[in-house]
Amino acid sequence: MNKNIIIENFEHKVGAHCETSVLRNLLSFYGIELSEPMIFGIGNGLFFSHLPMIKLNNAPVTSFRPWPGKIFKSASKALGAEWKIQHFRDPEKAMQKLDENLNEGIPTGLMVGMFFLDYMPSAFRFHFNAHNIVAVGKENNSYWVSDPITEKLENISYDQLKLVRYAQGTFKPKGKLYYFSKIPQDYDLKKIIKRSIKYTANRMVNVPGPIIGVSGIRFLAKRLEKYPKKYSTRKANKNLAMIVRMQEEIGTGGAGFRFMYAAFLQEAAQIFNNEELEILSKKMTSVGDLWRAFAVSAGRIIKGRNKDETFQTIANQLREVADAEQEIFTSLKKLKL
Amino acid sequence: MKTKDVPQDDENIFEGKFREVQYSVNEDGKYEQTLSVGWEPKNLVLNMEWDEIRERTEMARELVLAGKKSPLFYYMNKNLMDIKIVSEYSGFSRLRVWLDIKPKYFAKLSPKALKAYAKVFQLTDYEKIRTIE
Repeated sequence: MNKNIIIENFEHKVGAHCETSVLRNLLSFYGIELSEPMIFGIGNGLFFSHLPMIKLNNAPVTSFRPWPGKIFKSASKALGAEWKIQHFRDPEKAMQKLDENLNEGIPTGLMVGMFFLDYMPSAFRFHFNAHNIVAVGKENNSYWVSDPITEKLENISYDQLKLVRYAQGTFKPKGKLYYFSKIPQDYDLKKIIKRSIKYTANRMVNVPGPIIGVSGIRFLAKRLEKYPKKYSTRKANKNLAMIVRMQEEIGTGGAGFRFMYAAFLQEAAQIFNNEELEILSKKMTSVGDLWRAFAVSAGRIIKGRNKDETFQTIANQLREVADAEQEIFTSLKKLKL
Repeated sequence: MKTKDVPQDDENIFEGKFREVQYSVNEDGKYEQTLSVGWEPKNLVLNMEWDEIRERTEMARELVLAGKKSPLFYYMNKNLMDIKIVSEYSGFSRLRVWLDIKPKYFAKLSPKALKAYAKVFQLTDYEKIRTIE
């Protein structure tokens, strides 16, 4: 199996988020040209939740994205594509299956851990195991992979690839690989967009309970206000930093995916030739700007630079965000398309 | 965010390897992808995390030098791991890893066991695991 292979027609395009970009690149290989924001939109990618009872690195979890794999599944299903997902107990078999796919010219998605991904800058090498890449070729004893966050194809050795496919810790990939088995001839994009907008809008404003959607943002605001009383300065700052990290972490496209969603709404506006969608896209951009302003203020609080900004003032910034998102998603829910 | 406002606050986070995609609005009001080398608040929180990791690693080093912990403890912290992750990568039980963090047990390890630990931390020469950098 030491034959050199490269899947020629696979176009490596960078994106903001790994899951949406991997899907974009795979679909494009099979002749379906959709942008990353479009895939994010129809994959119901926009999300918010605050889970103080779940801790990551000892800080409460705030998430701007659905569970790993959800966007891929929702978008592919909506388009009518079929795909195969496999896990392997034996790492050698996982590598063998990958080779078989490459021999057949099938670009294959892989779930990998970041920590031992040696082409990554060291600052990003955490034990984060839900990263997605596509294997597109094999040369001697190494693989060519399309990692959507790097600007060009990367080369990784057999041993290292095997290691990252069997990364340990939370969300073990267990050799997970996936590829398309059936590509739809035809799909009704308008219908898919309509359905996904309703779904996302519902999730943002209609889920009962305090943790998901717009109420989650308000819940976070309430918790933030209490940080100075509840925690030491160091701990309060650490928790705050975690929120900013989740919001701006590599892969969001800025402002916790809000800009990407605005880009999706703009594309949808063109497809439907709908003025109101265009306006809502602009409003979504403004919400993104509010999130960014929140991050700037949070940064200043952490550094202790500006005494006018407190946990109280940034909590109010978040309430402003929540009000604006509530308005947008309520309009989107009512929108007749 | 307008394209002209996409921050380029370079603190070498990307080590010049690539830049990060951001979505921004161009002069015609259309969304486009723009590449960024970093943004101050974001660099700040990422650096905070690494400062904490370095602090932990430094503390581990001192404990090893003081003879209170074995080098395994140092490498575990340096690699952002805990007993659970070391156990999963090495195949040793958590109890075993916990014990091997103690200098007394670590000193008795066979070359085979040392090799297994060295492999977890990707040390090319397994003898290196007996000492810390």
